Amino acid sequence: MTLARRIAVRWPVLFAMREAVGMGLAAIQAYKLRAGLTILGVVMGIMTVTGMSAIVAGLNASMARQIESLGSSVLLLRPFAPGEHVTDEEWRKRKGLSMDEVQAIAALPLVRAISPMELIRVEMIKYGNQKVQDATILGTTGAYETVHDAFVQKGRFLSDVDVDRASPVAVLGTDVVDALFAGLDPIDKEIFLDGRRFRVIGVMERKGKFLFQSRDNIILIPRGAIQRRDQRFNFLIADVKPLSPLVIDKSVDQIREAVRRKRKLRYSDPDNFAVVTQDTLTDLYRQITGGIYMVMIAISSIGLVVGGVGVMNIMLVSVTERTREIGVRKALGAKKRDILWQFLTEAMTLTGTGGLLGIAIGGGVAWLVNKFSPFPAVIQTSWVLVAFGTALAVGLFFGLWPAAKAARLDPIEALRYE
Amino acid sequence: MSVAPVPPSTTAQTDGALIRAEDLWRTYVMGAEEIHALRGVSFTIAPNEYVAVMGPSGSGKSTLMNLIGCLDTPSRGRYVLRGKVVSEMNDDELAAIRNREIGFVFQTFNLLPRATALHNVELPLVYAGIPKEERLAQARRALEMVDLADRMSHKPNELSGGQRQRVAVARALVMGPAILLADEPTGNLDTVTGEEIMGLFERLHAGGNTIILVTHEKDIADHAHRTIHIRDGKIESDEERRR
Repeated sequence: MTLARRIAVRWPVLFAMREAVGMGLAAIQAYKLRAGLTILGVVMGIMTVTGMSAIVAGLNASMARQIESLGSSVLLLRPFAPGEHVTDEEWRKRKGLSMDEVQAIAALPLVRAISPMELIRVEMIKYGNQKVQDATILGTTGAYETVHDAFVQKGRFLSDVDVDRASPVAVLGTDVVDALFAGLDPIDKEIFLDGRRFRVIGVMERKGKFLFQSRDNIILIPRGAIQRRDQRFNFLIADVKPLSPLVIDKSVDQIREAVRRKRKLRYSDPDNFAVVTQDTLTDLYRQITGGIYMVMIAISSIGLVVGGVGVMNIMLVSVTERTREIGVRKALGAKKRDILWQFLTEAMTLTGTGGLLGIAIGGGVAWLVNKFSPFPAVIQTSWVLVAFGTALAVGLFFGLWPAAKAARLDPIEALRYE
Repeated sequence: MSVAPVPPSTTAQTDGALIRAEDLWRTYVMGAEEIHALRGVSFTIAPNEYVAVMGPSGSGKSTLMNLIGCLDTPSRGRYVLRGKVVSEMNDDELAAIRNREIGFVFQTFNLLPRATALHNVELPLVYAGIPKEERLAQARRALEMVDLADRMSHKPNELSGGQRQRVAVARALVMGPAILLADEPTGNLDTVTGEEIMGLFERLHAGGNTIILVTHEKDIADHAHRTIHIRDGKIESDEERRR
């Protein structure tokens, strides 16, 4: 006896799989509405998995690109790490960098450039009658160009002289230029920041968006040109460019040590500042997407359980309705496992159909999101396979009880059933 | 299951009997009460016999049919079919025996409503694990034997009562069973069609098949060459008849 023949004799239903699948499809056709409602939960669950995994994967890819676009290997010195939990007291005690610390960092061997920055609050930005209100105003130094790979397209950048003298000069981002000057050449024009007069000396190259936020809505002025009004609410922060991307970790260590020494922190004290790397951002982002995956699994689990219970119900009804058929099959020589597999296959056909529908709809959603929203979506083959496998597993699990019930029927009773 | 009070012989019967029933008892327990549906039934049936089992309802006729058809096992006694001791088998072994040795024909035909005639006839072959091509060839041959070659792809609701019963007969014969076991095969048919089916049985018998007919209609039983009468769980009479 060949192997195939031996398998056929032992598991005839494997060879009659098409029959059982056909029967499942026939059941769906015969009771379209009932079957449709039944597998709705499965459809939703699988749709969630397919659609959301595509969106998350798309976000991941674009996030990775955007983090890279921040400038290769820029370190951010901040009072707080992103997502860091601090006590209220600690929150009040944290302060920004001092220029003394900035200079100490600038002198480190592994640091190529450091760009200190302070955020300046200004109510009103004006040129003639044109106004802008939501631009970011940073007081910084000439090192900004080097650290951020951000260059002027027109005019010149802030010079050391500008910074030393705290000259009233400004370099504008393209969004600000568009809003204030509408076609005019902005160079050497005078703008007013809360009534203070500043001369425009340069226009930055367009940078595009990061996390859906424009990076061109910016005004750069020499640090000190506008004095901070309240020390408590204005932190001096800094971005640092290490000598090369290969020494990021070492340069982080050097910076931490330098700042800790300046601040006279004891060995046991934790850092009261943060050095944020791209890895930190990526990790943070992973935590967020991890959360999204949890939500996705929760939603789809609910759908799948609801769908599964529905499938169990429809299968129990089906077993009762077809008691006589089961009796006939047993009289013709069907063994318990033949009947069991027949009904399991039918249940899996139901949920598998729901799974395919869910994948189609989820894929459609992902396509629409890709087409009509700023979120990119990439359909993940692995997740589609997982989703389909899950749909089949739901059929297997929730079909088990009805199928076992069918397999256990006494052929005499079943044949007598009206 | 109690042990049968007969000398044990596990080897195949060599006296030529196809069926050997020895002191069959079947007892149902209903609460505290025991109901004896069969009280010691013994008989033998030789190959190519045509036997009718008759009896009023409640006589134990259906219980005996279930035992002969290997749908059930006796509470006591021994049932040997083609040399195999069926009375000691488990459910799956019984299923295999039904598949190979018993061809059922039911009063209500019991065809699968959504399947074609060909597929209905194919079903026992599926459970026997026979490959597709062989299966289809055998099913076609069986349908040709009952003159339904031109109705193979029809579904039961597209066939007349007589045609449906012929499909059922083809299904019963397709595995080449030891016995054809027909339970009131004409009960749902008009007289003319019933006669047509009985004519088919006659032909099959002439072709070498062993047929057991369970019925309460004397006209139908008269087609058989031997009649066993059952009453109160016992054999009342067992007579050979030459027509």
